[in-house]
Amino acid sequence: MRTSRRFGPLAVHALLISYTIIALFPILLIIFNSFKSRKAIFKSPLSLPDANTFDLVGFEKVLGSSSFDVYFLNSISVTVMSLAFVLVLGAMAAWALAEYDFPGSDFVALFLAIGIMIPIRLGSVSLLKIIVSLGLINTLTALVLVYTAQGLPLAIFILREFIAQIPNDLKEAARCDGVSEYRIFWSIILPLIRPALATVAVFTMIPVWNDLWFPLILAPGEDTATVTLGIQQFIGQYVTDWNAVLASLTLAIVPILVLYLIFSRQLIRGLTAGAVK
Amino acid sequence: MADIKLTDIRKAYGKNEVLRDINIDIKDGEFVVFVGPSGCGKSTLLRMIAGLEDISGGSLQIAGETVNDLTPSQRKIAMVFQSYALYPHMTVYQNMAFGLTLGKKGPLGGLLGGGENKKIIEEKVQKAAVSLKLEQLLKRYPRELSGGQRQRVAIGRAIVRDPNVFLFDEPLSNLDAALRVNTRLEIAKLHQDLQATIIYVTHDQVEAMTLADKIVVLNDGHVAQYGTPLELYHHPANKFVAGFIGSPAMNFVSGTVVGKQEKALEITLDQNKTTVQVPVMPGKTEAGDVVTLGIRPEHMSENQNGDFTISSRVLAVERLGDASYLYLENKNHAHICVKVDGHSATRTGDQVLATAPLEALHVFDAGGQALQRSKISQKHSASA
Repeated sequence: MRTSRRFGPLAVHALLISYTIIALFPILLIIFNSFKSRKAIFKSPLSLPDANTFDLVGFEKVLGSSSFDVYFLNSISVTVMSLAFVLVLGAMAAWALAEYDFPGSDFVALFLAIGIMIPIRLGSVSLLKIIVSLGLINTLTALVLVYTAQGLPLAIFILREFIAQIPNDLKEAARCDGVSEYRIFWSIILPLIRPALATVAVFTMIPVWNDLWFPLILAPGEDTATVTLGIQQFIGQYVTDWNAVLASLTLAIVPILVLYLIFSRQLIRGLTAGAVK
Repeated sequence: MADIKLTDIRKAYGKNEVLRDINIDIKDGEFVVFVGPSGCGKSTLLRMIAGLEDISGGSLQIAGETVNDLTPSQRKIAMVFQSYALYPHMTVYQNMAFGLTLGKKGPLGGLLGGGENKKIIEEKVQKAAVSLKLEQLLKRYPRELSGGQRQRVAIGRAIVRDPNVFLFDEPLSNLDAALRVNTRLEIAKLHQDLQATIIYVTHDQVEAMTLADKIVVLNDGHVAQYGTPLELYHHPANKFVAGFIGSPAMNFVSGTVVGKQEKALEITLDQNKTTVQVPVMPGKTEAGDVVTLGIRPEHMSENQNGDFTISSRVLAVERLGDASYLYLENKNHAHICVKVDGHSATRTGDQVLATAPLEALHVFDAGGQALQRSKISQKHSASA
């Protein structure tokens, strides 16, 4: 009994640590090599940068010569705007679906469930047509609209479950207090589903930040390119500027990391909510 | 403060009727308890009065105004929930003040502020907190409070709103036994202080008896009886109320009517074929009718002279110290409980002669309706 109890956590930790190493390895590799000279990258890609191989040429190139700051700003504004829309609209829709019985509510719920199952990229052609006819091609608005649509179904699905778990008595107590439905949503429901909102925020922002597809087809212009698209200019058919690519990738990690840290405190509570009562 | 009038109230979910023919008059300042077994519809009725459930039929008036279609806040009621329903992310102070901070007419339903003056709110909350001994706890969160404290916060939240009517939905059922007795007294005191109209739902008949000015006994969706606690105890209108009010419950033995007089019935007991003359108005009963005799455990005694006697074997003895309960074999019914002195030496398996004065007997006809008692002994109705 004692041995198995000691063995249990050990095995679990060994498993988790090895998974962590596998998951982090490529990222660490990118970060290490972004600080090395071109020669060192190819000579010993797995070694840490030392006094001889340390080189910031990649960062200099990225920050100095290209319009990386524009790409960066584009990525951040698209991600933050989409995130805001998904969270606000998703939470409101989830509240409506969870709390009110209206004709067609089942249909709406089903419609959204389909949205989770069918990837939005299948509709790329029609999306492109719609965006063109709206005159929104090569604008960030187009990206925000598409990403909001992409994020909403799952957000509503998750948030609806959370909202349904909030005891009815709380809402009824508020109604007895004369609280309006809007106020119940903002002052009672939203604070209580904060962990779920953080979870949804993380799940929503990562695919948006990393996406290459929609920027490529909807907003490929120099002024509207996002980071993922911007990096592509360093990858050529014959020559790839690895210093610049790795440096820009390293820089691209930073904002998403900051956003993640903001949400992570909530996220951990979100994932364990219900596990510990 | 206000009186409440329920007229022919009914509630149906689809074709399933859960409440019907509810007619209750509640006077200003009365403490009325809805009591009944689980599933009898008492909580639903309370929620209908609160405005949290639609009323399917009939009319509900509060302070002379029909409020069927008004929202809970327009009815000026405050409700205390069984689960307390405190907002978990707000401090005690915020919980109590929340309902007051709302502007009723502001944009987006008061979302952008409005509401009462901050000073007035603080005064009201402080006053309620002092009366409920919550001053020290105002900065705490609900999760940091004990059950009894949460209960008091929930009551405080109701008080600050200064409502017409207080509604309590089984507020004590989550508390342990000792705390329950304490809180019960506090609620009684609260009613004294506020002189407010209170409607209180419980399944516990002791709570009902101790707190209520009037009790509404609900059974299976209708009012079984509405009256003062002692009316219900001494003059239960039917077998259900007789069995529900009083602890331990009233004993029932079956019998057959053999003779009828002006103010009495002669009844032969099925158990031992003895005949007793019970002082009740015969009403429509005829000789040959099957009736049920009811007798409370506290009105019976062992091995004494009495007009009503039953000799039976003791199935079990419960000793509480000041008194003991004997449970006797009873043909056709569960058992007969007799409350005897705590010093009684009777043991399980003994044969006991249980007796009672005839005046203490209740008679119920085949339909379960009580026959009016023509004479009640001084001893048993002194307090009525």
